[in-house]
Amino acid sequence: MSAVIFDITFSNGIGSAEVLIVKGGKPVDDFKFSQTGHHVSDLPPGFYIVTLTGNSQGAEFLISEPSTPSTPDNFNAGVIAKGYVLNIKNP
Amino acid sequence: MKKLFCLLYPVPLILILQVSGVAQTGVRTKTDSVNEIRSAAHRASGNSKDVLASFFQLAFNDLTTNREFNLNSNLFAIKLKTNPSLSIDTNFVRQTFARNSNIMISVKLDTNFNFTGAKAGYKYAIVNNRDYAVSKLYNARVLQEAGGHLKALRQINTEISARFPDSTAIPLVLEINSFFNDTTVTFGTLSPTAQQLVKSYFLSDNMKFDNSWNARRDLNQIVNRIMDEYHKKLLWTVAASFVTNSSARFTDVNMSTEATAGMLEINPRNFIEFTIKADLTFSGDSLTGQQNLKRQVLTSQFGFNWVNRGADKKPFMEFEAAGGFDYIPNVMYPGEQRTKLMFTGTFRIRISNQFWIPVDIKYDPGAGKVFGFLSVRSNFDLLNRLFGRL
Repeated sequence: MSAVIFDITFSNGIGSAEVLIVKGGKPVDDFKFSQTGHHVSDLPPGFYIVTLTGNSQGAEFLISEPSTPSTPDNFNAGVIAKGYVLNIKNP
Repeated sequence: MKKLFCLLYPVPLILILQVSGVAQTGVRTKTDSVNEIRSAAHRASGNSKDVLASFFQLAFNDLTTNREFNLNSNLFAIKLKTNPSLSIDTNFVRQTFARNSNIMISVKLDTNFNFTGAKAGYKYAIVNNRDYAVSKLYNARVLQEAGGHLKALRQINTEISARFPDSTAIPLVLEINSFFNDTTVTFGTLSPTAQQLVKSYFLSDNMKFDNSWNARRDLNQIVNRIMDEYHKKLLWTVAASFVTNSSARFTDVNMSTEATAGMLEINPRNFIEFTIKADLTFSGDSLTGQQNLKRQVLTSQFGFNWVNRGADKKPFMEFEAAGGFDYIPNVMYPGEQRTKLMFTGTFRIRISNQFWIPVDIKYDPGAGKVFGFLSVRSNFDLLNRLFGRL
């Protein structure tokens, strides 16, 4: 298992976001941010798709593991809607 | 000092506070934060920026006769310059007082550009329903209206994960990302697999599956529409200032209040907002030279401001028509009327994102006189860009 840190920073106002992590078509983790902060998910090795959705006046999203597309990822003011592919390898 | 201003006019660009960029590793830069504030401010009317500056406003008022060089600074914008971390949401929400505060400094010049006096003041927005950046209601509404698109994206990515449980998912995820984030990637340019996925999870609507359809444009329209509603909400400020003469002697005290709100949307490009202003000035008697503040002048005004916007929804041209009266309860000068009616017309045109030219026309029906005042107003960062600081 790998501890993957998901970090979000909202700026210029309040924001909120939801993160859905799926593997093989099945939800693995689903959590929300109502302000700047981070969340740790324990993920076994494999391929995951992380979907980030929300709204903000500006935001930066960071995943502690390499992803495609890469992070940190910056968002302008508006709706956030993006997916990331994670490959968690054996430690 | 007295003659310095003839060197600055008509280049009113030099004596300006600059907002410098400070990058922090792993964090959105100060420049990004400033850009976001600037971008939001561009959609506000010129009238509302006169009521409360959201950033910095530099104005040359009454260029033809009694010139006044005026700088309005938003207190939060000043604090952000020295402490970029204030843009982070948990700090930002605690800066309501600063965001609603303007500090005003004016310098007055005569027709020969000699210094005749200065003015300093403070303005506070006691009601600022336009502050959507910290409104949970605004945030919730955007998420509700965009909910269908966001749910569709989660479902699309879940199905991609089911069909392509390895690195083969990457091209499709990136393609769907482009459709949701790049306004130039239309439905018609998607691969057949991506099109099938999008069709599966959006509402069956023939209009939506037009080849020119793009999800990011939908999302931007939702945000812009709701943001526009907030730009028309009530803004009410109170202010106090004091004035000195050319010898730096204290002469006048002024208290004022202003309110504006949108009241009628004619069509997506035109709306009307009302404006109410009241102003009470205490000054000395200029005939006797006494600085006892016993002379009082009350000025009030009520009007309507018509705002015309371009296709990008940024205000382009405005015309404000207002009527009001002046009332002098005591210490009247010879020949002066205790009560005077006045009609004012202000025409504003936006030259660029930050640069406005307002022209004021005042009509005194009692005396049958018309007065004209030409001003120049920059809600800047235009000046920062010209000097390459951002």
